[in-house]
Amino acid sequence: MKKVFSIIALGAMTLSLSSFDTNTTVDAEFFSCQSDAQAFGEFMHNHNGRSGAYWALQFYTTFCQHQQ
Amino acid sequence: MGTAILYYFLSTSAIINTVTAHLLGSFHFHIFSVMKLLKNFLLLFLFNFSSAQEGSVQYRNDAELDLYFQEIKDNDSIKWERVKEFGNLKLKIDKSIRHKLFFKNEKAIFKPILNENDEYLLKLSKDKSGHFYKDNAENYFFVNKRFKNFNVQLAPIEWEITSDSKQILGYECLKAYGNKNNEGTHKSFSRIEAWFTNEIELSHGPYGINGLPGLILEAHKGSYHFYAEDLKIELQESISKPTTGEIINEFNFNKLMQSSVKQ
Repeated sequence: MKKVFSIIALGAMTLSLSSFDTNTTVDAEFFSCQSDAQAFGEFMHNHNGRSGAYWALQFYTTFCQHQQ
Repeated sequence: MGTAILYYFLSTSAIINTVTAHLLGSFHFHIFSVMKLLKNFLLLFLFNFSSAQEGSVQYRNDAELDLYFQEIKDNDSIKWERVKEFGNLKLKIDKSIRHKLFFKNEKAIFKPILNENDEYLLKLSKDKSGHFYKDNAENYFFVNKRFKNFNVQLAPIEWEITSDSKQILGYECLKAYGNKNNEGTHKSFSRIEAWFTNEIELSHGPYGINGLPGLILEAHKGSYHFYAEDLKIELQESISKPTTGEIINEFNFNKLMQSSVKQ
């Protein structure tokens, strides 16, 4: 668990140093956390044999909230 | 407790009367026994009817893709190809979580059903989905996000009850539409549809959707659709409040959770 959250924290720090495509309307600030989750998933893709979607959902579950 | 006592007297009186009647073989004794049994049944029925204020409801969630993914799917096919695995995985997890609402008079708590065999991601999702607690004084959502506990004070729902009705699990239900208004601006940020039964006069429901004059057995809010699968009227243990966290209102919490982690 500590290792997992260390990786998540590392990913969050990495996100803070990188830039992302914000051309589409759905990348508005309203969905920033979800975008972060997607970016984290792409960064972590295939880590420990897990897909990017797995890591994105783990990030999302920890940092974001389901929006209605 | 009262039900247990009545059951005891009912069963013992039935046994004693049957055995005695058999031994004495008296017709008049049988009539007396039947009248006494009928009286006990009537008392038992009235007691159960008046005290049907404890129990549990199990709900399933026929979730759809949430707003973020649906907008991408509808408007950006290239980006959808990148995010669809994430979106579909989230949807699969959302649909697989069953919840239970435990209620005991004015208190209720809504939380996911945990299973020992849940794989890690499902277990994490259930753990982070939070608990909704309500009593006469409080109505909040307790959750741990970003390594912090929050007590999210739920905005009240303004309801409009319609005359549409249908049966759910054998209970006659009415439809109602609800709106949650943002504090300060009075702008609605959540549109809700719910079906509730007057037969259980408790203002509880799933996912923080409550405040109607009866128990809610079906509720729709955004991409979440809760359907009651099982309802049990039975004695409940006392319902405890979830652990205290940082107090925050619903609008500010949603805004915080939507914001980038980079901030």
